[in-house]
Amino acid sequence: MSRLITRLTCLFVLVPIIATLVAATSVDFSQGPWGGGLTLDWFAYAWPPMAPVIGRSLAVAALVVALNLAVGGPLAWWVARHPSPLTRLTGYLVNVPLAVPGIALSVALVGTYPMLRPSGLLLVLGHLVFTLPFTLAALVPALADDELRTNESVARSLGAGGARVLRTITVPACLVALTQAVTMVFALSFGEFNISFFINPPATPTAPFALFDSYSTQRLEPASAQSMIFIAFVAPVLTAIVLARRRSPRRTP
Amino acid sequence: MAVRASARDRVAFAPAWLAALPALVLVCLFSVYPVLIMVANSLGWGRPPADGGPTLEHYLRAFGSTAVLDALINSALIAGGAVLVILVVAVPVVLHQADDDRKGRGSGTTDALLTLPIALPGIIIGFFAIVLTGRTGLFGLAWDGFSGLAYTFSGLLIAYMYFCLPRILGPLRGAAATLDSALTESARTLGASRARVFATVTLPLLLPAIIETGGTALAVALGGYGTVATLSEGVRLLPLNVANELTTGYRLAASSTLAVVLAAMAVLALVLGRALSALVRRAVAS
Amino acid sequence: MTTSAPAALLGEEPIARADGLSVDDLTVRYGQTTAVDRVSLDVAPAETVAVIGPSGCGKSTTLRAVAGLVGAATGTITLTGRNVTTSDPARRDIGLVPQNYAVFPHMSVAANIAYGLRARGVDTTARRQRVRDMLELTHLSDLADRRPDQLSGGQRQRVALARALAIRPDALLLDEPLAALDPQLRGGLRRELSSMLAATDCATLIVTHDQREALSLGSRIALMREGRLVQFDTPRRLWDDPADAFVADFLSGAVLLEAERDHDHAVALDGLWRVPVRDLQVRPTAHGATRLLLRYDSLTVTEPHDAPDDGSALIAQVDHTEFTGESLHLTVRAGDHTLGVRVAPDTRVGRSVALTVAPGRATLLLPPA
Repeated sequence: MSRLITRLTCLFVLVPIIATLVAATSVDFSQGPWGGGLTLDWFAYAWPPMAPVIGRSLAVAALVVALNLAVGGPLAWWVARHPSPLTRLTGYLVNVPLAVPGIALSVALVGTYPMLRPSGLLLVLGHLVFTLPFTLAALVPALADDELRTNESVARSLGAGGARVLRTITVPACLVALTQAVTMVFALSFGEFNISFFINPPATPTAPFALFDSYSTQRLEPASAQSMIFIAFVAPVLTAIVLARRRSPRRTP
Repeated sequence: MAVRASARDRVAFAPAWLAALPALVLVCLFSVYPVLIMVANSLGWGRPPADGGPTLEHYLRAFGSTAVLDALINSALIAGGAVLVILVVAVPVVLHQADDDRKGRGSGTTDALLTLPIALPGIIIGFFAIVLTGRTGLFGLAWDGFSGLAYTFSGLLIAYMYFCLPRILGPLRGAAATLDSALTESARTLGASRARVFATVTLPLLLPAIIETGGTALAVALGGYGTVATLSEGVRLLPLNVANELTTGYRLAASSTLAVVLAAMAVLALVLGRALSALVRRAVAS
Repeated sequence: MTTSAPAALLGEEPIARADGLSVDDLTVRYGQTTAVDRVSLDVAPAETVAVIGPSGCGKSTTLRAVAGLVGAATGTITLTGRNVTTSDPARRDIGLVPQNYAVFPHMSVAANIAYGLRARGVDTTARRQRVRDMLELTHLSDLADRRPDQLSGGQRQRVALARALAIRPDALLLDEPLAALDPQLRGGLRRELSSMLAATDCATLIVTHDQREALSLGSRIALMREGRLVQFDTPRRLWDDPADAFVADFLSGAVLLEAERDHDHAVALDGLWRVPVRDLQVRPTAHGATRLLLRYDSLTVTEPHDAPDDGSALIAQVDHTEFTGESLHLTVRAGDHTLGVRVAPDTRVGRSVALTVAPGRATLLLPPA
């Protein structure tokens, strides 16, 4: 019974993706699947305008990941190692973008910092505050781990300095959590649409906006091809998320 | 030992909270402060001359408009309905996965497939609805009734179910993994049928997590903009109105007001989920 | 009654044992690995059998197979004359006490005990009476309304036991009943458990890795290793006549050496050691081979140059010495043989030693002529 429901749920996820692939490879989808024959022309047609947009999105996502590690890492360390009412308050503040819907936050950001929009700075910072809760959720439990803290003390008692302890003990121990944080942040930023809606620099859209534009202006077939290109870019990232989760130590009760 | 070492670090080097400072400054500047400004805008405290001083006028106008009220009710119904349906579907799925994981035969493909939608922006999910049940959709070929379903209430409900699926499966799976299989096994050997074990042991123990996950997913679904933006010619939801106030003539105060209403609904879902979950947890387990 | 098939040895059909629990030729596989390999054992009503062995020997799997929680690849499980091999666990009438007790955290003590009765649709009056009886039996009457998180480990164990006994099971299964408790408390709780078990009349199977628990709780012991049943007999006979060196070592830390009888001597270790039979207790063995059984008090240590040179002393190199409180554990090497022996804790030990049998303290196991 539950196996059947699981299978059906997988099917529910898979069917639209396959249908989109079929649409992207059909000459005329309105005549049915592969109506008018099978073709890769739509991909060839969709790729050239899509390439710079994808590149821009990748750059934004990479920048957001780097910023997450640079400011989120130390924040996670502080929250994990110095629990106090102050860190709890910090937790609430960081989680504001989880509670406030993206489109609302987008309105708030564009209303407050309209001058930062054209350069794209507002977009990157918006993505940063939106993804920071996920970085914290992945890193704080890993950094708070008792065994890791014991190992760090042992390393320090053996004469290792702070930087060496971080490089040789802390980072390797948090590698799975780090991978999870990095991939999650990357995927979220790459596909972010809601927060980006009003803060995205109009002249240089990111990938979701290119898709959104095609959905309202293009035929179904090239729009499907663009969607498949987008999915092809997030799929490897997703595989990394799943692999990281599978490698994380499982608690067996 | 570790605590003492870090205490010493604090004395010898820079204070530890300094590490948190850059992130905190950014969060306050680009998340907390804009939200406060948004609230202020909605109350007429924005920059003059656009706003003339404290007023509830924007809220009165919003709640007086049938279009806004319709969108609000549709939002609540579609987000709530999608979360409820997916919760019902997710419970057997996560129990099945937990069982597989315990026996060490968990399938990576299933895992990846069920996680995939989390990396897809809402607009793609809306597009899926068009490909399958749009005016020239695939399912429309099989049965005419499917044509244009994407733009109806049921079509939007199914699209939001797709959107909610990974956001409910993920956290619920963690909760299911912590359920002790010895509990259900003991209940079975005591003579309880599978259905009885589910109703008397599994479900009560999973209920707090179900409620909390439901609240969080409801908050996210309420704010989901991309899906409905793609399907905007159909049923209207509140996030659409929030955007419209800005895209069709820059009415920041009106848009902020609707954004605050939307955020308030999401926060309410989140807080209610947490509170109810804590209540049930205490009733169930203490 | 040596190894795997006592039923076959006695020429008895499993179905003939109408009462109690019997497991015949049970094999359990997890994928490619065979966790339980053709195990047969039986438990009479009111009897307690302890299944013991090192971790991974298949003892817990055997118990789970009896409870119906894992499927049997081959073999049959018979309970009071019913073949339950493929029955649903809910229909076996077996009381299970899992290792962590699995007390339902969201139910009171009384509701936990009543769980199986409710599932069986026992009417309210009878159910209340039965719960009261069980609370009394397990000394939990004062805690009936408590929640499990307010209980100690020992109290949880009693709740799990009361819950299992409430359904009047035909067989009671306990998986490592004392392992989750503090070592200091185990002695007292073991005696308490033993007296509660004595008050029941169902066939009881206890799985444990602790020799003391097995010896004190089991009226018979089934010793398993790598999925197979090595020996199944009374504690006394396992102690006095172990099937092989593993049984001797696992159960009592004794050394069992293959030996040959040569007139007045028992010869062991390829002729390196010739022990005069007059110094040994001689007992018949059911295991068909002549062997020398040495316990911690069987040997005396002398300096090699003081030892008699008639071969009755074993000259050996000492590789390692370990003080364990009640004895001194020596790892010694003689020829190609390495063996661990225990000697009195106050023994002075040099680099090499001469080991002689203390008269009357070691046993020569002889097969009947």
